[in-house]
Amino acid sequence: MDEILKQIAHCVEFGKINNASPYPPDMKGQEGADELTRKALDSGVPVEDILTHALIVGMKNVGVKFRENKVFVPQVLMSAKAMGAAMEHLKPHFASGAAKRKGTFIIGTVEGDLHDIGKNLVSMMVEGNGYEVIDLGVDVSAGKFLAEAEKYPHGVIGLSALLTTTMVNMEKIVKTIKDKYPDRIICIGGAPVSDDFCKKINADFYSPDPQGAVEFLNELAAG
Amino acid sequence: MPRLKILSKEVSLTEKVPRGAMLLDILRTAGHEMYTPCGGQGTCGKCRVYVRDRGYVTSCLFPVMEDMEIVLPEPSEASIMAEQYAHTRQLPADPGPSARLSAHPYGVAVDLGTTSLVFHFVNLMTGALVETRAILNPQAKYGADVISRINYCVLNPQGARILQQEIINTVNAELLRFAGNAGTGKTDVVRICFTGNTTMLHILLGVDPGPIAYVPFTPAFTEEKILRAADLDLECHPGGEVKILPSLSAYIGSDIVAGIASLKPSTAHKNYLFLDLGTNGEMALCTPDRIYCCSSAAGPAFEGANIEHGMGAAEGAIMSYDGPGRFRIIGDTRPTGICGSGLIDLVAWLLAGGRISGDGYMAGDFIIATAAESATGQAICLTPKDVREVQLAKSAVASGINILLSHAGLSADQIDALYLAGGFGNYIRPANAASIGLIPRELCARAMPAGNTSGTGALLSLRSVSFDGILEEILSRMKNLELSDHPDFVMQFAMNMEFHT
Ligand code: B12
Ligand code: FES
Repeated sequence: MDEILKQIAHCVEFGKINNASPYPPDMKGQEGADELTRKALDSGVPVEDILTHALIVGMKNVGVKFRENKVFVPQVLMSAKAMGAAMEHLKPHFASGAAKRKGTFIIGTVEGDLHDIGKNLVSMMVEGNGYEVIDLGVDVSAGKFLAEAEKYPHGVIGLSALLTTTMVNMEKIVKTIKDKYPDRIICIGGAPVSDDFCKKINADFYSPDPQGAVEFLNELAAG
Repeated sequence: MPRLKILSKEVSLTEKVPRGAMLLDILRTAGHEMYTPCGGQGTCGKCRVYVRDRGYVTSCLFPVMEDMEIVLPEPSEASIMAEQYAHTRQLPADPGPSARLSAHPYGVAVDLGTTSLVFHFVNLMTGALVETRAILNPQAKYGADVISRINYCVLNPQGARILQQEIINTVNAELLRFAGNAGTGKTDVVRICFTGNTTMLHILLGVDPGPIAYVPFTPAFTEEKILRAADLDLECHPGGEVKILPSLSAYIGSDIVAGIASLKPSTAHKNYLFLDLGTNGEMALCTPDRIYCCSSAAGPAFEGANIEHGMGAAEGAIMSYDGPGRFRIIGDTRPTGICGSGLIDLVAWLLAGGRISGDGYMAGDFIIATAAESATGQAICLTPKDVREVQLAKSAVASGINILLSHAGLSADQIDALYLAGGFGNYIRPANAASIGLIPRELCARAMPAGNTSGTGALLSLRSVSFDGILEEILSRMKNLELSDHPDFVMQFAMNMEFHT
């Protein structure tokens, strides 16, 4: 059982989606995250084990390498796709309540802004680390964030902005949510955003990279 | 009140300053030009100055609490080329009726760039170009890119007016300087033509540029505007004609429209690509019927921002690189940093030698010039993160080009010529640009610098009313492609970040 989990973790870390995928070149023709996860489930490996010992391990490795500049967007994207292929097999088990995730994360790109590549990376990394992710897409208004926050009372909220003109909208969104729910946790990110800005607008956490968001969520989940 | 001693090349002065004021603001008030691409947000690190006994500090985030001594970097002139090129359109001189306002009529063509302003002074009787001047855009202190300027207008109630005044004052100073030197009266200047990106043109007219930055990017106007000089309080003939050339969209301004119109490619060139490699990476693929254009938001990496030791093409910049110790510097000085063309050469060289791998990985900093060789006393190096910034910028451009090609149903080898607009086009080496994947390999032998096409477009418009018809024809063929909702863009962009070694 350990062996197949290691293999899945490897596929996730290096972005091997399935047998047919030509990427990465040195794994051509081999089974990918898709086939291996199906196999593991069929042979009775518990869903939680696949999540914890395969997906999370693979995502963490790639997340750390990304933070250290050892890999870049294309590799992370392929990893996320491999993770997604594996996750498809696990989802029914989460939906039925047979297996549990670590928490909920609500993320979106703020009003006026359409940049979503960074937000998607964060969203996929968080999902691959065992959280349910509610992705609200781009150009999301304060009202929409508030409504979703109400729908998922324990969800942590993540805001992304890539423009100096739209990062100011974060302030409005944080205020809208915190006015009603002062304890609601909000983290922010995006190229122009900084730690100082995070403090200034009264958000709870800033991370320059997805791995930081994952670690923050893990700390919260650990209580 | 703390006392601040400022030491720079020309002057040293001591002044009392309000306690807690930001160092950047103090330096500015004292009249020092500061380069602040992020507009004082504390994110670009380019406003660093040296504080005695303390080291380098980020001046926009540094409140002055006690007496201190500041050592400022040496001032450097922006070097901008403004020349005539072989494929520039020629038109007969015909400045229109406003030339009758004076017995010795002059006119000015002004290219309002985000970074620099280029002025062409013309004798309207003869059509002769009397003088060309390039100066820095005085708004640069509000941020390097258009978004920072828009942000200033959005966040400050009088923002658009303040920025407008900066431009008008600078244009007026130039007009008066010209009148003084040429020995003409200021009312002899009877015609002014402006080109610029859509944001600069909004600001010139004091119109709020806010909507340009937000979805759905709708500018207040794109059409040509004709005013009287008195409307803008310009220091010339009050009845003189002021013409603002037409734009296409929020991110394809009259700088691009007039730039394309200013070119007259050889008749053998059916399809050609026009590329302006500035922060917004505007590009147009011209085919016999349609002209497809987009703005690819490349970011300022090739202008030096976001690059650890990056700088603009100014004195002290490493402008080309062929291996250790084999680099060229702008001006006769030691190097202070590296500019866009040098950066492209360097990355191409590191890729060829395998020090950067195909996925953009570089193990550690690469030293370009040691602390002993550099002008700053610090080593000049390229960091792994800089390589990542180059990947983002080059991929944005490459992906934009691919999308234009696919809309036109053409492949790169069907493009007959590549025109590189702007000063950058003069320095860039196409073969290296192709090596890093900025432009298609097929085009490197067909690339040529086109100079300041926006300025040339303004000049043509000033000299000859018949340019209007050409502009109109070009505009009618232009089709703006919005990349934000383009289905292929994101995947293209992610995958084009790789280098093909
Ligand atoms: C790709 C891109 C686009 C694409 C966007 C495609 C898409 N679907 O996202 C297109 C071409 C459509 C586009 C359009 C525009 N863009 Co654009 N774009 C870029 C570009 C090249 C890369 C951005 C990117 O994806 N980076 C890669 C990702 C992975 O990084 P990231 O987003 O920063 O995310 C990371 C972190 O920030 C963090 N993170 C992100 N979000 C979050 C959230 C949380 C909670 C956490 C914890 C972390 C986190 O994690 C991510 C992974 O590390 C940059 C320039 C550059 N070189 O960076 C310009 C840039 C961001 N764009 C810019 C501009 C101005 C625009 C436009 C407004 C105008 C134009 N010239 O076209 C339009 C309008 C779009 C709009 N209003 O939203 C400017 C912004 C300038 C400024 N001062 O604000 C930039 C900097 C370029 C420039 N001109 O200088 N753009
Ligand atoms: S960091 Fe100070 S101006 Fe950018």
